[in-house]
Amino acid sequence: MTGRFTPTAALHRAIGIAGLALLAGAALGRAALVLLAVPFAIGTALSLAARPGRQPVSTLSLDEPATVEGGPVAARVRVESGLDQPVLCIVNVQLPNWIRLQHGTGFYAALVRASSSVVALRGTALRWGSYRLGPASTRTVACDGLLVARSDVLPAVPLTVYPATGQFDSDQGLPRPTGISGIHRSRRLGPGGELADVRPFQAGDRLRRINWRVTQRVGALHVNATLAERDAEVLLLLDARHEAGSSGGVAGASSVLDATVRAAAAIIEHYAHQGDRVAVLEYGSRLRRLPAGTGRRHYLSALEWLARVEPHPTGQVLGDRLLITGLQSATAQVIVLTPLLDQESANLLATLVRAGRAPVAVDTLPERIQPPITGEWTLAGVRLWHLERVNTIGRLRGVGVPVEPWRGPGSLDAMLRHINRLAAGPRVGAR
Amino acid sequence: MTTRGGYRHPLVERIGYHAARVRAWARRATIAGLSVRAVVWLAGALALTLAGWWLGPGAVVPVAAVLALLPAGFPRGRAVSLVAVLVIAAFAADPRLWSAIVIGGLLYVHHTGAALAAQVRTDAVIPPAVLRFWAGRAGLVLAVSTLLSLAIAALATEAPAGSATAFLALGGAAAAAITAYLGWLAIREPGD
Repeated sequence: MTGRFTPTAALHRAIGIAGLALLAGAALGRAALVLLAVPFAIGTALSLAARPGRQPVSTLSLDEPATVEGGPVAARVRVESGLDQPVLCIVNVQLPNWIRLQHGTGFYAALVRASSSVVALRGTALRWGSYRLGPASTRTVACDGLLVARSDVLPAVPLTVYPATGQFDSDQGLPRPTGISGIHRSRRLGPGGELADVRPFQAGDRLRRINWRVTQRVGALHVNATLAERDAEVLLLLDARHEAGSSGGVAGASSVLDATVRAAAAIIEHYAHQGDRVAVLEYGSRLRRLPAGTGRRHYLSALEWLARVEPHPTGQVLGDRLLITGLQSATAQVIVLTPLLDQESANLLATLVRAGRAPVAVDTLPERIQPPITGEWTLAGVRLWHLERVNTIGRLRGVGVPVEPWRGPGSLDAMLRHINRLAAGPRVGAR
Repeated sequence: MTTRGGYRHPLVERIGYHAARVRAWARRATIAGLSVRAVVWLAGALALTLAGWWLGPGAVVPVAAVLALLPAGFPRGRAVSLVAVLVIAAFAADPRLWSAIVIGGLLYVHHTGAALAAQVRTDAVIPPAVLRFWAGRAGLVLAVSTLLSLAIAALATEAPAGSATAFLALGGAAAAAITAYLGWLAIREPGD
């Protein structure tokens, strides 16, 4: 975008002061007064001698469109001058709340010479989320501040900040592996490494499966039968209906959504990298879903998906039927990440149990959370609410829903062990 | 001023709000941004002091120091012009040929510093190259204008007495011509 340069107040002032001093000197007949005008006349004439024709063209770009919490953010405003003389370029970039610059607050001055100049913005992303860096405006000042061109507005660029993944490392298997190949031991016989039985040879058995010791002892050909190794599907259900607590970014306190999203990222990373299929569902006034997938590419897609999680403070929830329909895969292991702030969260888990699922609840309520408004009865109210919540958790455990707070590494191990025990027994579900 | 239940008097609230704003501004401000304002203040204060020296240093120095804060704080407003007019008016009361060169130079530094300060905020990141370029331009203008001023001063001291009418006519014509020339430079199209 190009535009004309217009005079600033400084130009009017320079001409006015020079004229006033000259006129006063002439009127009073004092050469000393004329000398006051000399620097203004010389300075203005020198500055305006090379007047630029058009203003430079600017572009705003990000070095990397995505980063991780606590990671660097690098953007640059490139100013293409094409002018004969240097001009001053004032850059103003609007920044999201959670982007902290190393220097300054978004206002930069740069001297743009004949070719081009780059104003580099370096900062840190403090919290996960989907942001827009900008818009930015550039204003060109020429002739020592005597002329200025109108601001050039540069459109904002999207920036995705992935949640930082706490290290989750579970050594427990998943109870219902149903895929074709994977790392979980199935209860069915098939190709695998875990010995299940030794049986007589049948037509079609591979020769390398023959157990020669048993064959020699029994006198007839016997082969090893192994348990099949399958992958499993994990469904993460994110209770994003409420946001509570104040977020302090990656190095500060965590809010409910912070804990939920970071825990989800860690769980997805663990299962997707070990070959299981992971689907993610956002439970709120809508049912946003990431289809099941596996591998590093799916993990990155999930991070992108998680960066767009938003609270749904409308109070509306989906109906039971719609929720169960949205779960789709009937054999997926459901892990519900919920702060258990109200009765609806417990109802959600109860609905899953009634549908024949064996959900695992991850409590994402941060420790030492306080209500935003404090008063005379706050302490008593908070204690009552905590007692009620403990009762709810106890009732959930009573009906077979393990509830465990998210504490990082190995948090889910105990619950998955419990789920495996439950899966070994008969299942009861409403039809 | 405070009462029970966390309620605070509105006046306390307001003072606290403005104090927080000042603290936030102090955290944001950069050394380079403040240096530009400091140059504007110093040049304005010195120009006012030298021009009004005949009032006595005890009277002029505090007034000049306070008045010069206005253009330093509000370089986009009319305070810069106000200080310049005050300097010219004070100097006209007791004009001295050689001090005019110094005061003229200080006024120009005050003006060009304010021109830069009007464009950059106090919290802007200003690279040293910008300040060097601006100082270099001001130094060039001061060098050329000092040479020209010395020539004019030498001519004025050697001019015959009693030529006031001719000086008035020549000076008026020169003032009109220079002002018109600068005005044309301001409005002309590039390439003219």
